[in-house]
Amino acid sequence: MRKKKLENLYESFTKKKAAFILFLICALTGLFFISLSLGSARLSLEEVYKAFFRGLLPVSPLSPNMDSMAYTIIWFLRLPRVLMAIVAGAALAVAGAVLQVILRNPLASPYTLGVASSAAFGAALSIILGAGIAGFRHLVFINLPAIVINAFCFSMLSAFIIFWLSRIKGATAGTMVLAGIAMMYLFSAATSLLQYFGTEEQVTAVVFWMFGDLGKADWSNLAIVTLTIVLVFPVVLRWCWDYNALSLGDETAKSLGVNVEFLRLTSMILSALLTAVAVSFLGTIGFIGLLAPHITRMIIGGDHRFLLPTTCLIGSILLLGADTASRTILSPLVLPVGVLTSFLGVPLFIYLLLRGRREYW
Amino acid sequence: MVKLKIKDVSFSYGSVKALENVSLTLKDGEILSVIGPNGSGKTTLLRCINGLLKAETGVVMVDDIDIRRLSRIEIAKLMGMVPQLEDRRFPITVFDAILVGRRPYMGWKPSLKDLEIVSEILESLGLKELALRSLSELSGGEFRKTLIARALAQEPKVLLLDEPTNHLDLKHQVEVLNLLRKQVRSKGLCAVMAMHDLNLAIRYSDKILMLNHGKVYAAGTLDIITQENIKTVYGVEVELFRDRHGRILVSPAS
Repeated sequence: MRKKKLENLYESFTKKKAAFILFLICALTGLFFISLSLGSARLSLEEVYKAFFRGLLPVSPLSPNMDSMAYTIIWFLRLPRVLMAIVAGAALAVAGAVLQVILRNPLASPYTLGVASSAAFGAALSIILGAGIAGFRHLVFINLPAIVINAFCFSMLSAFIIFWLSRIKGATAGTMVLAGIAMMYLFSAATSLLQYFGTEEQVTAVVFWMFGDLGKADWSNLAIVTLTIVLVFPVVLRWCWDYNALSLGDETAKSLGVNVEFLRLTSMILSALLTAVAVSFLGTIGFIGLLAPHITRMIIGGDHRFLLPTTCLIGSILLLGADTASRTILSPLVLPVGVLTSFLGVPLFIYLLLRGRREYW
Repeated sequence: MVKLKIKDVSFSYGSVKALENVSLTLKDGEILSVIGPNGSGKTTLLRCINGLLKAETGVVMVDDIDIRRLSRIEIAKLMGMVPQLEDRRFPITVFDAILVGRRPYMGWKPSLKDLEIVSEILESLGLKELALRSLSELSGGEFRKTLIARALAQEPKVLLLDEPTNHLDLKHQVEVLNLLRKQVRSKGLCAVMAMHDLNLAIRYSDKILMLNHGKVYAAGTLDIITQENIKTVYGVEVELFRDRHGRILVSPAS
């Protein structure tokens, strides 16, 4: 009788977590509609939702005969931006959660592996020297895709250097963190060097590029970020028990049949991919990838079956909330969302840290 | 019946020989302590038995099955390993941590049977009250028991433990070892544990294996605990006493 009780207790415990996920989905949906109705252009609620639902209808959804201003604003400015906040927030949060467990380090974030600084270097290279990968040459400022391609290639390059170093030295958490920090310094130094030789406008452009900004979102880059997370997320979710095993230690995981080196290396590449895609299109959006997994762990604990989906939602909510705030606080001025994520995320984080009576991490 | 048989296992880290021709056999319900100074190859031996390190020569057989022919998952169903304490603990609940031990058996969603096995182990180890607590809140002794519980959840035939009493106070040392002995006897498992504390090793083991520089210096029943053997292996003069139950106690002479 008592035995039965314990399993039931555990099952109701997992059901609570599932309920929390459901709650977050509702909260995110609510936030989605709120965010859609806010912005510099003063549209009434009616205009906003009319335009939104008109676009959803199957009758030639993007046909130009519906080119009212509200329609254009909703479908080409706000909607891509709002959806990008959702997918980029999820991508960064998952990357952070995965890196924290494979590196067994609470300080790990998507940028621990130097992805952001190498992306910035790639962008700077393209802005200042006008040089793209594979010999493309483009003029400064104008050609965003060249910058994006460069940023992406360099961030993956740094990920592969870490991959290669860890293959040689043994993929332990320590090796990877140190290799990541080395990459970060290397590419930051290289970016500084480029900036030293650049003109004032070029340097400004680089700095602006590095600011995380969701205003860069459009339907095509949104599609790429979405596709990446849709492909990567099921893979990492499938490995949730391996991550749980790994959180008990390398040796324990190995003795349970987990191929720890493979798990660590592939997870690292996948999270670098998620981060690189987001960073290349949007610039560096800090803190989401560090905070979202921690907030999730504080609320629902460290079981990766629930941690991974929940952290996605928390990441989306944080980024969408921050972006909505950045568009409205000083409207019509739009603040860089990267700044707002910290301003909103850190107090929430500290609140949870202080409130929790339990010893955490 | 012979459960675990190890014959002529050797291993080296690069050019440094860590184990040389180590052999041992264990039957159902037996506990063997591997003793020897730091660096004598105790942990290496456990890893070789588990197949985490590939022995260069020799065989490891569980129930007459050569483990080299098994996959890592199949080995995980035969052997549960409890490594030395890791200091970093993740905020995962005790129940989830033990459930991880079912990984070799389950897909993405644990079955009712998996949950039952975990509940049963939690009960028998007296961890029921802690089931939904986070690992980061546990004391050293409770954490140790959780790790043993996780190894038991694998439903193994052999338990390998690396210094199970390390960092524990007297009460928890005794508690952990009593619990271990009870599980080994009642489930007909066999256990190999690396031990530093000679008195605890003597108290709880059926067999002793004394390692010195990777070689078996002496092996057998408790009879091999002698002043001479300890002097040679540890380089320490000791005196041996007997308590009123006739059990040997080792005490450094100087």
